[in-house]
Amino acid sequence: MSEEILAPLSGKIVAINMEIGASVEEDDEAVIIEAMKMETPIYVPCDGTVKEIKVKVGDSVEEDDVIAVIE
Amino acid sequence: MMELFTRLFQTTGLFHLTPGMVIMWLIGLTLIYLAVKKEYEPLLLLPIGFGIILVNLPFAGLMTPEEGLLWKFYQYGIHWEIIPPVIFLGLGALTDFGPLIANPRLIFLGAGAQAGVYITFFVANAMGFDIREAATIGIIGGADGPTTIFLASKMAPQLLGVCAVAAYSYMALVPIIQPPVMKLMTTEAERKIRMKKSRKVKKLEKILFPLISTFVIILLVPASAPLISMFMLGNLFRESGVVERLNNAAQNELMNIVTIFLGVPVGATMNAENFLQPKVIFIFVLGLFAFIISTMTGVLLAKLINLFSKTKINPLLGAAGVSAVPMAARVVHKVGIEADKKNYLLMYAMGPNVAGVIGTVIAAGIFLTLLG
Amino acid sequence: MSNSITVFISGIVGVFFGMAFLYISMKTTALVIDRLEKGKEEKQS
Repeated sequence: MSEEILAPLSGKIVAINMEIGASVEEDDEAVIIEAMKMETPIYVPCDGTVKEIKVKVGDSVEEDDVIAVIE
Repeated sequence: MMELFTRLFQTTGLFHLTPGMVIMWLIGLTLIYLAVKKEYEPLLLLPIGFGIILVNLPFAGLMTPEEGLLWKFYQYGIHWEIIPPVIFLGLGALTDFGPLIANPRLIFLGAGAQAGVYITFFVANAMGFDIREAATIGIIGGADGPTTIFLASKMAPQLLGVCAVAAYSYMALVPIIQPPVMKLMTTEAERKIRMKKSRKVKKLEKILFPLISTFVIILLVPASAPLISMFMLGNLFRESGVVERLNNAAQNELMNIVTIFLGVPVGATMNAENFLQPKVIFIFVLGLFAFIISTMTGVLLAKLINLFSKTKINPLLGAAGVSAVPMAARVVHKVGIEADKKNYLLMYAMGPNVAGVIGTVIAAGIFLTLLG
Repeated sequence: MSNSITVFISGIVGVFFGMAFLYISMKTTALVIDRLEKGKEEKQS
């Protein structure tokens, strides 16, 4: 079963705190999005391993864009 | 010989210095210090602080009617109501109404927070402030600098400087003032409410919003026209997508230029005999009171809506109705993640936040209509 | 004193009234745009 991390708000990716293949736990920090001059950490929704990361640092994301896929 | 020396001394400013002036220097320096060291609204408090010092230098005459440099800035920029609307043009170009259009009912939270404006007005009037002064003090609770200056210049120019400083310094203190009030007014469970996913906003809606708002608001409250017209024109620049150059000019160069000409004369309205009065302390206290009450009424209104509506609103969003953009929205987000770290309220909070700006302008328009 | 009560009440009512109008017009716009787009889709199919 895989779950996608969706961007909860639009903004710019300023940091990515995970790697493809790494195992992650729920509530780990996945990425940090900067919006309204404030950095908002986005957390992993479930335990699993990172299958795919669809963004890179500096990208702008819109709300509901897929950031990463957890398996 | 000695007489000549005395005469020379008497022409210097030093001879005419009063203790009040020195106190005002200290106040001006404090504002500059807060701007530089703590970055409290530096774009405004820095020029305001400098303006205060300038006007308290004896014989400099910068505020002498018809002659003084700063008097001219004040007269043609603020008294003639040019600068606050031009700032609103820039704010319009900077504002994204998307979060509000996606969740239209959040607009009422922007209205709810304005109750604080009128409650403070009422209290100030009861405390003995003249009715026009009370209106100016009340509008501090809207947390909107240009609107406060706009209203003060028409209602109570003698209070303009104080009210502007109170509004801008409390805006900088929003992250300290609001959270305790918000936590007091909500339960842990309420703070954890997650908002329903908002719908997608179409481009056409975003273009139509400034046009429709212009019609609706100016037809209802004509006195708010100077601010709302410029605000919505700026937003139309932004959303139309075809006048990128005007959009950039409005939100960058033009806005920066007028900010300079706004801050210095606002500071210069604060000369010692005008400022060093006991009532100034009351204005600061009432301003703080206004911020707290606005936060409370915003939260209470969100709770009231929850009583009647099936889709719940996180009541913290009510606090964002205080139109300090985007500080109040950021505070809502931060208090929200303290309760549930995966609850991302920021974008939802921008809805009532921008609605708050519109609400404050309407509130100012109503004051002008009734008392103008 | 009564004057300030008048301003107080008409102010609060006025702001809510204004916002309610804005709310209605936003809702109407969204509705009309939705209808128009649906109409287009139907024509195409």
